[in-house]
Amino acid sequence: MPMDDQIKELFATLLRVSPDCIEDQTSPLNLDNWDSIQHLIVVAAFEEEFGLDLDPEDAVEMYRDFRTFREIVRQRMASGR
Amino acid sequence: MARSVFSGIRSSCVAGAVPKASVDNLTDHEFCPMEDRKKIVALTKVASYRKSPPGLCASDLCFAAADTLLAGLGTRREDIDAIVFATITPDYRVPSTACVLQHRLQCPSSVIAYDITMGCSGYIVGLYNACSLLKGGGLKRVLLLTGDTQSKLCYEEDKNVVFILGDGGTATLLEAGDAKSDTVIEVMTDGGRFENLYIPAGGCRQPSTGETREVREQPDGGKRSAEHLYMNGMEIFKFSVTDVVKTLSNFMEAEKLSAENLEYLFLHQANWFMNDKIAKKLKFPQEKVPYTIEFYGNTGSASIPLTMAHQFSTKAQSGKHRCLLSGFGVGLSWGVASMVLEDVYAPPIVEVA
Repeated sequence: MPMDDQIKELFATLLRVSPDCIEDQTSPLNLDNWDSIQHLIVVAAFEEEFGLDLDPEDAVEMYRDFRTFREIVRQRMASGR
Repeated sequence: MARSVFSGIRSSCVAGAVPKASVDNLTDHEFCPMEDRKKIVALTKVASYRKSPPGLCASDLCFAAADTLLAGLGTRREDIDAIVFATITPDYRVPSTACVLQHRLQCPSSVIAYDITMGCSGYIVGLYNACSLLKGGGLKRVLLLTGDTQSKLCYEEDKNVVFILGDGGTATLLEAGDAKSDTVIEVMTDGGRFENLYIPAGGCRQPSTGETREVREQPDGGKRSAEHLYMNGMEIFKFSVTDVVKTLSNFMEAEKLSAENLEYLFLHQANWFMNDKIAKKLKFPQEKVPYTIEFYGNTGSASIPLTMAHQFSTKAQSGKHRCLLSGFGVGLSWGVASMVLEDVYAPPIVEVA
């Protein structure tokens, strides 16, 4: 499975929504299940699943929208952090 | 800048008290699905916390802590010159709860006693006040009480706060003397962001009405009235991992402090995920960052001294311990203190029924 799809799949599973509901513009403002507690739970789960140690600034930025979330995960995976 | 150096102050005697009754985050809070409860506990590490029953106030917890501390030290009540009580959960709107505690503790009427309305930064702001009274006012002994019963501020089905906020009270005795090391304290404030952590109604700005007491579903997924505590979780996370970390970093650089030359970093017990991020940013190894959040949750102004009391009542108390403390929260208000604790006196945490 391509990396982008893996990220979307895990993200959607953790928020208990269908991956079809997730688009680049999906954000905490338009997805009810994506609140601050769930966000930190999702960030922690991505850290565990992909062996990442995300900076807290990353966690804050990832709360913007799904596109930002995915890009930061991709960047950190590429840099091995 | 509110960074001050206080010389010769001994602040090595601390005691804590918590309600006997506890809340289990996995088995209680049935309003929330079990899967979510497990995830929240894994994230915050708050497995349980102490919750005061109706009628048990922060002042009662602080009274128990102070009574235990003064009895253990053999300090006479008439030798106390000031009582400073930091809390956001006072007994009454009027008067200052510190006045009530002066009488309960049987301290003389010659003491100065007042409250400081500060939550999670309350211990740092309280230390600043206590040290100022000792050095500027020439007093000999100040009893610093910090405590909150935050469970009383939360709606029982608001998942943004009800899994984290618990109750606790502490007492710290500060004495003027000839301690060789300095106590350095810095306090910061940004009232522009106060609405990220506050209770909108019930004060003079928006008095209590039937409407403000009505519990409703909120846009953030929480459920509460305008008279319950509201927390914008992401903004508080952002504040903690940016502003607080920056202040800590600058303070450490200015005071030539590092994870190597400090024995402990006592952080306000906000939640484990956030505190872990802060400690990592500052390059502190886990063993130098004591936690009590798994037992007591986030106890507001009590959390730093409660963690100190827990740490030193279960570990070696003799010798010198160079510590860095940081509290951050409502206001927004945050602060840092560095001090050397010497031959610490910390009795076991008291449980209050």
